[in-house]
Amino acid sequence: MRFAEWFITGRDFVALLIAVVLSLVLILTNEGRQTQMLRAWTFGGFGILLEQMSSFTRYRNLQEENRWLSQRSADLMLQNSELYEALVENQRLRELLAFKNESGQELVPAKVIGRNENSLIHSVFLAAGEEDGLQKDMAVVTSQGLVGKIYAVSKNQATAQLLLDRNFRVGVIVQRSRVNGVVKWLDSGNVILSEVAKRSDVRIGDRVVTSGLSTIFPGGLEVGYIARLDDADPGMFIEIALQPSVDFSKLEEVFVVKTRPGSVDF
Amino acid sequence: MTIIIYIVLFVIAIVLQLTVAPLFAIEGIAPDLVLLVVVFVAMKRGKVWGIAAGFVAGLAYDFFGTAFLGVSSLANSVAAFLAGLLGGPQFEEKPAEMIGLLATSVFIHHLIYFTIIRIGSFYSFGQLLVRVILPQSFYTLVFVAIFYSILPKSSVSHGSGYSKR
Repeated sequence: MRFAEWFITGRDFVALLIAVVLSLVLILTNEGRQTQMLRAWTFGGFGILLEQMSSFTRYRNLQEENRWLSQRSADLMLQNSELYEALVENQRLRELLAFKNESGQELVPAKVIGRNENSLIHSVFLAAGEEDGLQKDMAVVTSQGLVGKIYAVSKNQATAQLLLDRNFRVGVIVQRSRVNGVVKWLDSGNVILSEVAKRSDVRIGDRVVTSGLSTIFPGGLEVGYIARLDDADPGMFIEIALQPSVDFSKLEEVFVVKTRPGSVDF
Repeated sequence: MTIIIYIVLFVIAIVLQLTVAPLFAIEGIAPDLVLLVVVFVAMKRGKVWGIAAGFVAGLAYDFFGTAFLGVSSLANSVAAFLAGLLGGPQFEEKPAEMIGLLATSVFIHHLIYFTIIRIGSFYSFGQLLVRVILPQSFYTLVFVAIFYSILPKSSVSHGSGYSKR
């Protein structure tokens, strides 16, 4: 009787208790198949709304994007002539060494229709899904470099986890010196190149690309540039701040790499 | 009918959170529009409604992130419980207490949410508090204040669904 009275008078607390317990159960059972299915189902429901809304917000950046694209097109024209020379040389060398041509990446274009960002979580929603051939863990790129990977997929939408997300890791090499490392989250909007020994040959401005030692990311995708070196830490490794190549604040179109590398993940 | 209105409100809040809120982000800190609606429902309809709305809206919002499913539900439910106290008649003529409790509910929400998703990261709790929780709470509170200053007073005071004691 007393419990029944308490249940009626204390219904606010009972409601809170139920919500807290249910939330904790959900937190502890996150990677279940049902959870993934629920995620996919929710994308499907909200995807159309997000897509419509994103077309309004996109106008805000159009003018700035136009200026940037003009500049970029001039830069690319200059780079193109240099790259053509390199391509010709590369093809000749490949033929000579009978290397397998690894350039056949199949890319799926996807429009960014929404974002979920705070200091620790960084993800975007894409207007492409299973029907376009997308699968979990496929690499996401732009012409600037690596963006992230596919985190969840529904029929027509997908979530991509960005390089800036605190749970994101990618194996990389410094292109000039071939030093290996792992890029991971440092704090809000910043990433570091970790697992690099103190005596390694790394310099500010060095270009960092994916190592290719992964079943997710093809090798050679540009990740960023070394922005700062700090070896004051008494440990074995040097702390390296990395400037990502991609401007994540202006992501509007991305490409999903459908072809997976064949090697073993680490 | 009321439930449908609240569902529509939450759908709008989630869509705006994922599309428009990032445009207002400063150094990765964006206002939490879903929490804003949770607080509104809790103040308008009382703690039980607020907790239920907070739980469901939080769950829907969690589906869009890469954080643990259930984190927003937990944080929203607790924040709604605190915000639900605001709808009581005891606060109607006490703006200072009302603002204090509102700020507390927003702060507690961010404290729970970010403390859980921080697990396993480099951030110490102090860094998290100074760099994330306090700025995010302040920014969300600014939006909550703007929202409530726009709304007519009658729309915020406790409605028929509020538990009177």
